[in-house]
Amino acid sequence: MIPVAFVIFLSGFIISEKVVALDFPSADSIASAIEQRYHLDPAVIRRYGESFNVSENKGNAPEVTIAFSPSDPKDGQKLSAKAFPTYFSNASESQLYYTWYLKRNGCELGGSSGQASYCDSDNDGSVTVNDWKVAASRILATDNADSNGFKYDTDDDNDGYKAHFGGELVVDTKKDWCYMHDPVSGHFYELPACVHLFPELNGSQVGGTDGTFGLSDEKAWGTNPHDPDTSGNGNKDEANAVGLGRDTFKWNYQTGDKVGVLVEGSSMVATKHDDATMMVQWGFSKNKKCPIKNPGSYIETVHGYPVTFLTTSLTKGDIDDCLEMNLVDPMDSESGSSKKLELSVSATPDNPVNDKTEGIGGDMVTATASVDNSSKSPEEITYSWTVELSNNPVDGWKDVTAQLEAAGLLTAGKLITLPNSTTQAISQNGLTSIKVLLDMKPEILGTFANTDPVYMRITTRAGENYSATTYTATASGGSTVAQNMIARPEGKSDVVVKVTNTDKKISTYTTTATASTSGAAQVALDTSIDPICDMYYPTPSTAAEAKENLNRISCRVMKNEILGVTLRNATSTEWKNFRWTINGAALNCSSTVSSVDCPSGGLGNTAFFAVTGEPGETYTVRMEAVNVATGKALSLSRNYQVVDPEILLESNDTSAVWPRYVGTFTELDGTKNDEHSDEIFERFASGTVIPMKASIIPGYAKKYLLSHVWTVDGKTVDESADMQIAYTLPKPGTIGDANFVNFTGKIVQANEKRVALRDLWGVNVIDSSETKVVSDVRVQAIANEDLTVASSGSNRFFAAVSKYVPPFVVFAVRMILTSAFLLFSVGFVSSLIPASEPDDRRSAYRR
Amino acid sequence: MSETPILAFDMKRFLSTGLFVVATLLAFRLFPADANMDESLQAGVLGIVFLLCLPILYVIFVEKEPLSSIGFQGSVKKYGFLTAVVAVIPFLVVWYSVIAIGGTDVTYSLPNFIQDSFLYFVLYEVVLVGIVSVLFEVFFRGLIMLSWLSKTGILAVFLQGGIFVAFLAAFGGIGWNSTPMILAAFASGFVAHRTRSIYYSWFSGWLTLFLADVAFLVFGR
Repeated sequence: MIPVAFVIFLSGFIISEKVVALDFPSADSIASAIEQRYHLDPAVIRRYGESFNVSENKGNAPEVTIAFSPSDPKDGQKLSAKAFPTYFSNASESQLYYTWYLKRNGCELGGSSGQASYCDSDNDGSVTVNDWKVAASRILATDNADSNGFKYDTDDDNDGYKAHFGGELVVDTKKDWCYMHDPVSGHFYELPACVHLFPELNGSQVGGTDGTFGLSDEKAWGTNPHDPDTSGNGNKDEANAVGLGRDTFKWNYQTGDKVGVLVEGSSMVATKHDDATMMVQWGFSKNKKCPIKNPGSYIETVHGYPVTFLTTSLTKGDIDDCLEMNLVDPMDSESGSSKKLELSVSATPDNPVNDKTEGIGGDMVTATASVDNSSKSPEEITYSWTVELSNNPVDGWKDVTAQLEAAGLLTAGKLITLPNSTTQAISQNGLTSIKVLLDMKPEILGTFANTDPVYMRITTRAGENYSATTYTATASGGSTVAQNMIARPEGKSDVVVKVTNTDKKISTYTTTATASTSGAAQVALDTSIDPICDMYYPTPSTAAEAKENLNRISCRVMKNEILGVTLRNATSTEWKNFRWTINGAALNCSSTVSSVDCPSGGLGNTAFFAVTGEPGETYTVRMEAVNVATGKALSLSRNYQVVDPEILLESNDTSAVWPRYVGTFTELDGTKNDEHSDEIFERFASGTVIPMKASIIPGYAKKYLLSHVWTVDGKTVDESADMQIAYTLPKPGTIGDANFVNFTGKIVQANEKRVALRDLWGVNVIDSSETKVVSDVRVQAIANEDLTVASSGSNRFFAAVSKYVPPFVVFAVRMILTSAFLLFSVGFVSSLIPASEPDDRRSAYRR
Repeated sequence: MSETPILAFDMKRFLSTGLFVVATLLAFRLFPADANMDESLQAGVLGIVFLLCLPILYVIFVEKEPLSSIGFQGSVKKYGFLTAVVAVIPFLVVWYSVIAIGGTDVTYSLPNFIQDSFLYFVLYEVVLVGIVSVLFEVFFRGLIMLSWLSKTGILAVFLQGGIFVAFLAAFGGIGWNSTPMILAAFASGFVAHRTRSIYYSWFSGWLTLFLADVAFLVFGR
């Protein structure tokens, strides 16, 4: 009755409200109904079932990786190897046993004869894996302490340790089960008996069940019998010998040394035994597991079911045999540390423009390289830079390094031909960045002269200089140059930059203004002077020139200036539909603003804007236009930065006056640059002339400099040339003397321009009044560079002494001698004068 | 009552001290400056050696007298301080008159940094002015006035003042800036004459210079 009711219930439930002819309900029809109702795909269920069948073989066996620091060790250097074990179930990595083994260079397996004495660490007459283990464990246990300093009379430090299978704190297990994983089949094979693979010395394995570390053990291991923790890391001596928690091993590296580690712990795979055990397994440093030997199985009844256990006959000796293939060479890239220098290179700006005309208006691309895995300073790394061009970002590269170098478009460096190659490069130690000036003309561009955009690939190669040993490289012109031998393979990296290749550029002009009596102000480009911010000094010799070069990146402009921008070399018949924007806002030019340059209103090749922002603010002027002949659109931009006009005072003759050296500035990439003061200059105390010159930043502001005056120590000084003085001091003076040089000037805009600012841009005339520019520097007298040394005889000796002895010492000696002479001579003269009556003398000074 | 021995004249001591004073001042003036060292540092060190150390060594090793002979001794405290303060007054009156009458013609100047900062002003007055005063007191009031010219009575005050002015002149230092020092030389000379102690004369000299600077800052133009 009940089954019938159940079937009726299920049928009703599954079929829902739809009443159809009732079939006898079978299991598969019910399952099919469930599949249909819940949209279960039988194929997917099947795949899950298939995966489930083999899921047992997908267990994660323990693994270990080793990282070395430093990654490029030198002979004798302390090298640190750190093990990173994974897939262990122990609560902490410090509960694992790390059995390190160190194979010193030349300590090959076999007989000890002919090998260094230290190869046979356990003194058993042959070199075995156990010797490698002992070599490493001794270092761990003693921290390289000198055992000669220990007194081996009694052992009273109670530093024994009993190891537990599967790691520290794995206790109270009924039985321990050791397994070896077969990475091919994914099966775990049970060993006949669980074993430790710790080193053996003095006839027994450390970490034994006795839990004692006796005097003979202490002596054999070189530990202190009166100090339970010889290495001072918090572990007992025997615990250190078994490698408890010792995930880091340090030793003095010698070329050829190899190291390995075997990590014992409880894996994340549970045994099938009817207890709480997890499989005790080992992680190998190269994760090369021991081949399964004599695979077999046995069946054990667990919870009434027969359970099959796979077995292997692997023994401790068999596992030891696998350790050699798990040795890691610290210099081997397989271990994770790269032999090659890992190099990265980046370039700015993002969308540079190449000026292919005769002008010099192109952008400057700066490529910077950084090395991630070298302990050497940038000066000890040789960088070689190559620049190539192509019409696509993938292939067809043409090396233009030599042409760029010849045209002065690359920063300084030695042009060489790379060894075993025809590739040319700019090479120099510490050349971490390179600047490419994009004024590439058709002779450099070659077949890419009319390509737009053109792609530029900047490749850098970097290698460490290990020694003074050199090889010969071919320099440009066929001469040869000596390059430092690079023992380590070079790193290489490149960056591809998309370059707009055009003869067009946004030119910026100052303006002239006219204001009629009715007040209708107008502006026009001032083409009587060159466009501003286009000057470039390939090798700037002054701070003013260096600052001027920065204008190509961001043009410095003064507040309350009216600037005009125009697309250079663009004819009105060829280029149409100009759209100018400033900081995203439309920049329209109308005939009201300039009847000369914008006669027909907007969309023309000229626009004007007033610099009304405060110093520090920036403008980005963007231009878009269409070439009606080719149909191609052109987009260019230019940056401007508002600055206060400033006066830069510099020496006009650095042999007479020079800026004070204030130290070295280290850039982020490690490059060191000398820093000099802008405000303090120096001269020799013997010097009598102070030659200075003034530059105004931004340079075009010179045309607004209404008047200026120089003073030295408060006295007005006449100019020797425009913006220059050569002041003659009344006398040379002495060390420490300071002269104060001042330049004061007045910058005033023409009234017409102030009217234009007011009428066209709404700038209050008070805001556009004069600006005072002042600069002061101090010129300090210092010791003469060299003292004149007398030509011969004793004078030469004394002069040489006075040259090399500090002045204060000479001064003190002279003073002491003078004082002594004074006292003695007066005392001597006094002794010649007859004495007065003593009583009279005493009373002479008493009241 | 026998005749007071204070008037007894020690020719040997007079001659040798006079010789030492002249030789020392000449050596100070003629000592060649080292072009490779800061000039003011050299002047400071020379001042300490020639005006302070040498007189002390001279008294100890040549004259074989106690340092009290050049004024390193106390006096009646109340009397000493009173004399020091009273001696300052007339010279301050003179200085105030000079400032008030001279107006902008008085080109006395103080370093800018002490005019702008009270802390620097205090340090300048206490440390620098204090130390320089010690040098002048030991040499001019102690050695010259109390030791060398002690027999000339009150005249010694003016003689040492004259020598001090000559000393300044030899260094080209006569001007408005040295006026307070000259006034202080006479003020402290008077105190030294009355107290026979350079402690009080130093206090008087320092007080004169200090108040002269204060007066200039307050009343000067």
